[in-house]
Amino acid sequence: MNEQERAAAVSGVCREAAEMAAEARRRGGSVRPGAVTPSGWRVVALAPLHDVAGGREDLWAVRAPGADGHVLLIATSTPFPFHRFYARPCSWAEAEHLVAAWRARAAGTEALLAAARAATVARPRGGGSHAGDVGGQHAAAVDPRTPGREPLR
Amino acid sequence: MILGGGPDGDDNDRRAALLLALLRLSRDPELLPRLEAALAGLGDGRRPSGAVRHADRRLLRRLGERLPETLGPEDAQAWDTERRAEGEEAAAAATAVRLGLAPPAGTPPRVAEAMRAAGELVARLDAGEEVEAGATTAAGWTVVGRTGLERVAAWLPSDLWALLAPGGAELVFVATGGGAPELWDWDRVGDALEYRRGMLGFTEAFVRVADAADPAKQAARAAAREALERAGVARHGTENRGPSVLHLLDGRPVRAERAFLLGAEGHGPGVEALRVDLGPPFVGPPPGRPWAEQVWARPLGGGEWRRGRLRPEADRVMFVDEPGAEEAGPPPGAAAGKRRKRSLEADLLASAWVKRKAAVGGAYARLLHAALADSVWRHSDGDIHEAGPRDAAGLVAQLAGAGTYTDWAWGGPVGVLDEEVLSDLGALGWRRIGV
Repeated sequence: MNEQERAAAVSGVCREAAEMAAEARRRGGSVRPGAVTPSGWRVVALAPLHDVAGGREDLWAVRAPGADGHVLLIATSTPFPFHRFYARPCSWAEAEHLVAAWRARAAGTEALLAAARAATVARPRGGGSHAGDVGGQHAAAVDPRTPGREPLR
Repeated sequence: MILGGGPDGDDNDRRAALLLALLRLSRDPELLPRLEAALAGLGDGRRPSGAVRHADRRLLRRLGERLPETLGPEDAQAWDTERRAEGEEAAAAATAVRLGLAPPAGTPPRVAEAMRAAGELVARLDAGEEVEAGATTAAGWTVVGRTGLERVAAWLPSDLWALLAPGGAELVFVATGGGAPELWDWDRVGDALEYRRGMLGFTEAFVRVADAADPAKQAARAAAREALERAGVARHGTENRGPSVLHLLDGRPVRAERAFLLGAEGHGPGVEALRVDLGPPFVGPPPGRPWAEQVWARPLGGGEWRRGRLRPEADRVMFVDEPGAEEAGPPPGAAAGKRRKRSLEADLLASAWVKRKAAVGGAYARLLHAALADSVWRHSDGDIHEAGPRDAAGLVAQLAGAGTYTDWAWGGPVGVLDEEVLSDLGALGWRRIGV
């Protein structure tokens, strides 16, 4: 397959992916791994790229038909007002960046929670107020390892 | 004065007059029906009611673009000034909301205070200021931590803060961004964490499956493995000195076989020796010291080794016992006259109780690795420690006194921050501040 044919194939499978996503939406569902496009590309894996307010984007891994069997990554999106799906080829670096981004976000939240717990545990307790106290009006006993969950008033 | 407006006419008078004037003058096919609709909504045909809605703003902007066609320069200028003032007013109001200066009616006073504190921090970020853990607001709220949120729309929060109220009595989470600061409870933050872990799992699984399915990737992996093996083989070599064999890494000696022991040459070439002044792995070729400065060791049996020097001769290699053999010069990193930079490694290795816990329980050691890997720690002195999974694993192996980094770097719990581990490191003055 020369460069021109390859570009045409990529463009074709992107269009097919967009049509499959649109059709699945019309039926109230979504495309699942194992599905095959009209030209024979098999969907190997799907992942939400990220949630978009009022729309969504998904990352697809599709495997080429035939002996070659190379894997192409495609991002599909349906921007507001959901009239149609768009699809574009996507790089492996983009997929790996996505993993790294979610790892960093999860770790960032973990770190924030850990710091918050440490700050709650380490706060002055003698003669002071407990978690959930507001102006000293509430004095429920609190496990120092279970930070207060009462809302501010 | 704009057409149709009297000297005492209010804003709505002028707006209505302008609409009328433009309706008469304009032949724009898109504008005409919208103008008619706008006029029909004016009630008495002249006065628009209430504030300008979002859709009206767009219409008025479009009208403004056509001003030169319909109005004289002075009237056009007056209209433009008025419209700019409206825009600035709206922007100022939005900023006040974003910075927590305009809490909704009925907001409890302490919540409003927390919103203002978070808003103040947002303003500092807007000004390009670094706001780190430990920073305080004018009212005495302390930043415990901050993390970014997936901001998929301008009006959604982009940052989540943990703030400690003045006096440390209460801790709140506040999400800030495009709208008013909003307070999150622990459950909501926990849900955010679960969501992110879920998304991480999804995306990791996706890449793993896609990667495994791609023959090109598999071939590239196999080729890389082979290249690595070839490179490893290329780095190693041997040198024979009579019956003795020197093993070389990058051309430098690292191991000896069938060496002679000085004073016991009659026993033949039976000594095996290892070079022990190589330092940590993955730092490039072994140090190129003269033979007399290299430190070697030979096994005595029962796990005991004796240090010494290696003396190569033309037809053999001699091991010379020297139990106190040491490298020449100061230890690595100990530049004379400079303050020793605090290191988390040194603090942990000097901590008898951390070493004991790591040596006794595999779980503790793995959790220690989970806490140290891919994370940033700061000592109360201000020194910072950052480590990747491999460095952290190497440290854990040292602390546990078992295995190498390969035994600890993979397969452990990821993202589990154990309270005992955090407490132990906290007692040494180290606090995890991020990733």
